[in-house]
Amino acid sequence: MPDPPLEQFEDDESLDGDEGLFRRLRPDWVVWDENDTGKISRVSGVAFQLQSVEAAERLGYPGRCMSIALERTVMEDPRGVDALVGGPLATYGVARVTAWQMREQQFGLQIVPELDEPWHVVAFPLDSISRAKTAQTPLAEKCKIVRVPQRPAIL
Amino acid sequence: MTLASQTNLRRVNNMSYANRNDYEPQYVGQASAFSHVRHVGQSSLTNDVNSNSDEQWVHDVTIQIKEYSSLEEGWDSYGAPPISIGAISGATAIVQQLQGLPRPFVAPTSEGGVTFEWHRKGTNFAMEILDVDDIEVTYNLLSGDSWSGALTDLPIDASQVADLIFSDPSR
Repeated sequence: MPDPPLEQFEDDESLDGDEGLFRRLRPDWVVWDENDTGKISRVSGVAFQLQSVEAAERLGYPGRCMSIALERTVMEDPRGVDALVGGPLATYGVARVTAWQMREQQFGLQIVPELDEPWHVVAFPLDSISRAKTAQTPLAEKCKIVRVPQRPAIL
Repeated sequence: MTLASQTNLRRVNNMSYANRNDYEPQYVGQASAFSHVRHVGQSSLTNDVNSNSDEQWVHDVTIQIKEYSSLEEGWDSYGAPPISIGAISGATAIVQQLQGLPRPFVAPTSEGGVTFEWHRKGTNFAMEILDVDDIEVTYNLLSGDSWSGALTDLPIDASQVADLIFSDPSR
């Protein structure tokens, strides 16, 4: 969480549109191929949902937002994308979108480094919460999976 | 299903029929709200996941939803609250009303709710249960139209969305 808490979001327009952004994927946020091939049919829009009002307050943000990771900072870590999904998150996957794709969906982007996540960025809605919700599916459709989550044993 | 939830969905039906001068009985509840969806869906069972019978998937999904009650704060790695009791109650009640439809994709949400999602070739319809009387709908149509808001404010007849998702095999 930011220290001190953010008083307001500020869109960092210096972030180039081609900048890669990572989002962790829970194994149950993807639709698995029904033929049990182990392949992913698609990513669900729930993978790109804003955090709750309660979580935003608890974590020190001035409004609902979505945590993502700046690719170039993540890749400075020798573990690469695995740095995002270590320990208890080992079953998670990682999806990649670009800053341009986020902005196309009316999200502002602010780099908010955290002690254990120096790559931390928040995406916050420039328009309404409703608009952010309709952005979930387009983002899920456009993202690239760069680390496949581990398929749950029972679906 | 609570009376409040039924009322919630009754409003949708009343709104949907308001401009057509059609008679719609009161207290139609969820079963009626989804009756057209169910009718259309039965004729075209093509969706992400629909490999087993209605009874079986309703049973499986009900168990799946109940398991969400074990998710603790931060379960999504992004600080999500636990899935609320109201969301689990509402979702388990609603899933009983979805028999006859293609099996939806079901997942816990970062808002502490449960989402049902149908997706077919560019059209996505998601129903997020946040509490027994708090249901939000988000749809994205192939035409580019999209909308999100309370189920009670749904601007189009639910059957229109159902037609788009379930009934046109050419799309």
